[in-house]
Amino acid sequence: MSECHVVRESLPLLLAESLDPASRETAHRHIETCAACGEEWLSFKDTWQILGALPAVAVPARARERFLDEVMPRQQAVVVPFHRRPVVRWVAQAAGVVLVAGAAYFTGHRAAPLRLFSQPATVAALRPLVGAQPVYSIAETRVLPATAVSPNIEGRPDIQHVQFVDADPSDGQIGVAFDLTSHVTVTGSPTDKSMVRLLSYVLQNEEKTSPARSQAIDWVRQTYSQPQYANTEIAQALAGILRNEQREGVRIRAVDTLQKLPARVTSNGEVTRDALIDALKNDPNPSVRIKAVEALSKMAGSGQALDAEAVDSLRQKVAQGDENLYVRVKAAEALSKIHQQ
Amino acid sequence: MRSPKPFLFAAAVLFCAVAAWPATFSKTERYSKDFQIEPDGTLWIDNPFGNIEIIGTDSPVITLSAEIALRGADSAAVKEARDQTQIYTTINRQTLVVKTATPLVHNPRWFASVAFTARVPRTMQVRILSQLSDRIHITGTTGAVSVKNINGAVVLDNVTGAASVDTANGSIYFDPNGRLAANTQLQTVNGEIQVAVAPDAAFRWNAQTLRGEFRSNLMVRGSYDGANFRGFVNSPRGPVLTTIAMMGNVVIFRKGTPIAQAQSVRTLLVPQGAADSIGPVVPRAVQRQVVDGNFEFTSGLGDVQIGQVHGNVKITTRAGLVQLGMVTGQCIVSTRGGPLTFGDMFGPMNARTGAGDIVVNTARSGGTLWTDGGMIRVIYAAGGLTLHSGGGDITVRSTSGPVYADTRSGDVTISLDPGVRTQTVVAKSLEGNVVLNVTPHFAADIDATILTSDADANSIRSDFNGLSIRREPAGSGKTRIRATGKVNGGGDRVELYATDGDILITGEVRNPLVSPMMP
Amino acid sequence: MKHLSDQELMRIVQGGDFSPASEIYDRYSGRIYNFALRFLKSAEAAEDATQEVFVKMIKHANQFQGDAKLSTWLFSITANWCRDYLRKADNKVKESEDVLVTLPAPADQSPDRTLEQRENALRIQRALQELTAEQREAILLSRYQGLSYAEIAQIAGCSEGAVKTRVFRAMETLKKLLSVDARGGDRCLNAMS
Repeated sequence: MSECHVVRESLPLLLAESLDPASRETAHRHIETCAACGEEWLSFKDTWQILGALPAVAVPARARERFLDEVMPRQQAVVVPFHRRPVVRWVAQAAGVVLVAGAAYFTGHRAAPLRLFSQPATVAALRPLVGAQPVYSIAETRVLPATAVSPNIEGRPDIQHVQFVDADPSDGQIGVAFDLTSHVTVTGSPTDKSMVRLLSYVLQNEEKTSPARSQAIDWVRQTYSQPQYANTEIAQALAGILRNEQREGVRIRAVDTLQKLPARVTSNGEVTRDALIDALKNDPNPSVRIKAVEALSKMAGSGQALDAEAVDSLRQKVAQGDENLYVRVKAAEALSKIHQQ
Repeated sequence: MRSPKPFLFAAAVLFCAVAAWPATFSKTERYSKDFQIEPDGTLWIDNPFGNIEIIGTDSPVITLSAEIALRGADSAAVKEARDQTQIYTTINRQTLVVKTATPLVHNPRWFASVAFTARVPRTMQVRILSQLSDRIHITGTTGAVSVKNINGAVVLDNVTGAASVDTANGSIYFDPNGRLAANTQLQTVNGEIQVAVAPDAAFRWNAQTLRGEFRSNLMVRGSYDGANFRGFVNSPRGPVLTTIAMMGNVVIFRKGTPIAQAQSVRTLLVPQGAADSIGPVVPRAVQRQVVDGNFEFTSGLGDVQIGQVHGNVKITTRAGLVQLGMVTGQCIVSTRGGPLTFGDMFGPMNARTGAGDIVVNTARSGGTLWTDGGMIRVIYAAGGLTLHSGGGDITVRSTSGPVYADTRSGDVTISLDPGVRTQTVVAKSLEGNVVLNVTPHFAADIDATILTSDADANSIRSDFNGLSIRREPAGSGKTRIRATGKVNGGGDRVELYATDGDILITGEVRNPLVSPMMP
Repeated sequence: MKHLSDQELMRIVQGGDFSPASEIYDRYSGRIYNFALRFLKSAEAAEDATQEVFVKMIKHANQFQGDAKLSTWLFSITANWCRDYLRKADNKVKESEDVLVTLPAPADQSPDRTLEQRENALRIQRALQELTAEQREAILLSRYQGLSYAEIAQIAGCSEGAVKTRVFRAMETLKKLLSVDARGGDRCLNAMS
């Protein structure tokens, strides 16, 4: 290979200032002495400069939102997997849990996740409340501030006897008490990430928790329908119930709560919006459809984002001859909210 | 490939937010370019925000002009608006696609819209996709036209090809140059439709509305089928005009005459004796503070909101919410869809809805509440209650009367007044839990049954001793768990039933719930 | 999180906590998007590429070697995506897509200057499309992303020598297309006022 060819192939590297010093020196010497390569160098330089005139284009803002929307639910799914109610529920699986999160608590750091491991336990089908000993063993009672617990819940712990604690509604603190092998109460602000995760977990893993999911939804509504505690993750957990729960009564509670949440929360991300649209389109219970369309209407009325699919679903709903007339009228009203802005 | 979804409402708000700034920076840029495709080709314009004007001409050239209007809170915002607004064109022999790319969710400090004017060969087909604009105007074309938008009037003027318009909130104005020559479908949810034709224009007319009315000053014949009208103008032959204005009116009138001359089609049908057939739903709504005496009301579609009725109430609607603050007499309400909310009801109630929640603050004489789907909540009742939901929770916060409650899916929670020592309660959920709250002194003959597919999961729990429990297979892999017995010496019948749920009977000391009053 | 290095952020993601996703996105989305935009000449496809590259980054975070350069890994994913995109026959029709108005008009410039800049950008974009995909990939990574030939070789799955040849050939072609004499051609649009 001729020296000219070697030098010419190195010209882009020279332009990018990426040649090692020795090669750079050699190349420059050659260019100075070889007219043809000198001319090539100048024209390459010109071209390199022209290429620089291509300006960088800003990434559309929606792309960021779209990415984060897709990633956050994924995160939730990984950390706290949702499973449909199995045929044989958790009690039959006879799983108990040992809490070993103490390290995080006692060291005062929240770096360590709440680690939970399964061990056998039994629960009787009939459990009189009076005079009966609980079937679980309370080795000790712990109160953990939510700030000391990692928001990552590992494994799928069998949290039982979940109770919502709000001793003083005015202090901005709530608590969730539950039994593992210890009786644990996690307390903190409703906005604390660990508290949100815990409640989302309780909502989405009914087969792993008790009492019933519908009760958990009521707790969530009490707190998170207040604007200052509005939370997207809670909305997404409710959306998951709306989409996956087989019992109509529970779905009604879920959508009723969603409808009461501030619109900016329900419309933040496609998960909730899509669940509402699906409910509007397909839920056999007319009350679920009414509440879904009312939630969408609230989103529209508050200027929050609805996508083209939502708009088309509302249009189709208005035109759907066999739909309950009230639902159709509500769908039309939801569409008209765009107009009012 | 996933396409980004446009976010319409947000954009609408942004528009308002920008418009509301006291000192708005703005900038306008204009561009123009000629294109040539086959004269029967198609022009597609996808422009989320801004007006569109299409003018049919005899020239074979498409002249496309774009005016980009940028507004922002300051010059930096305007620059960002410009950065983020692009117009793309794609062309081949048959098609020219023009697309405005602008983020629909963006910094609220700016707003960008693009107004297009296209002079096109009149034989071209035109397809427009828009979201928010003041107006989309197409004139002088003979090819097929299709428009879909959310907001903004759609005006088709001297358009003689087949036309299809679908708008959510815009009104549609259509003039097929006197006579309709091709099938046309005009559809709006919240807007109106006006069609101007020559006096002798002849076409078939299909129409639909939920809340609007059909009007015309031409010779119209036809008949109604519920909310639908099928008929013709001047002749039962010719192309078909389909007009769907769900919440607005449709007017077909003689070009050049005042639109006010158009009369209700139902009136026009009188000569054929069709006026008595079921017309479109007549919307009526009532809002009153006080009604002295009985109140009777029937409406196809409309909400009823009354503060007080000093007498009996009878309301029947096909759809609409009903809110009554206080009724001193009997109350009968029936709607095929809509939530029902009652305050202080002195007389017996009978309230039914095809869909929606029922909430009663006080049912002093009890009554029957029925929803085909929705939650039922009674805060306080002093008479017997019969409650049914096709799917939804039933909650009675406090009652002294007997209760019969059943839901297809949902929890049933009934709390008896602390003063009640015994009472009949029958509560069933075919898919949920049943909870009965009474005092420790409550006496009853209890028969509680769970039918469950997971006997380890569901349980009957009771604060009372004296119940004997039986478990037995019930076929199909199900187990029946039954608790029966007398508590506190026995009393009225308490029958509780849950499928795949728990039954809980609590006996706690509670303070009596003071009969609440509506504010 | 701004003070954390790429590797530190990725370690958090690998631990199952995706909260650094937005920070990593903010660091690299501009470069990824612009590379894909130049490579594919489609804003829509570039947006999809950006989306999918970052989702893949999260999904397959464990494949990231802790001592590697994150940018190289991200560009590898991007380049693969773009190559797949171009392989699909139905995407080739997009080649005809033209840009009527793409660039901002800075307020402090005369319309003529603005127009000139736009035309330059259009010319460069068109010239880039004349290259083979391999050449285009190499020159984009070298000229606009400042990657070394070793990194480009890793991304392109070829030798450094091959990269050197590709960049050189690309420059030869671009030189011809973009030289002063070659300027001219159709104006894409005409300023009206």
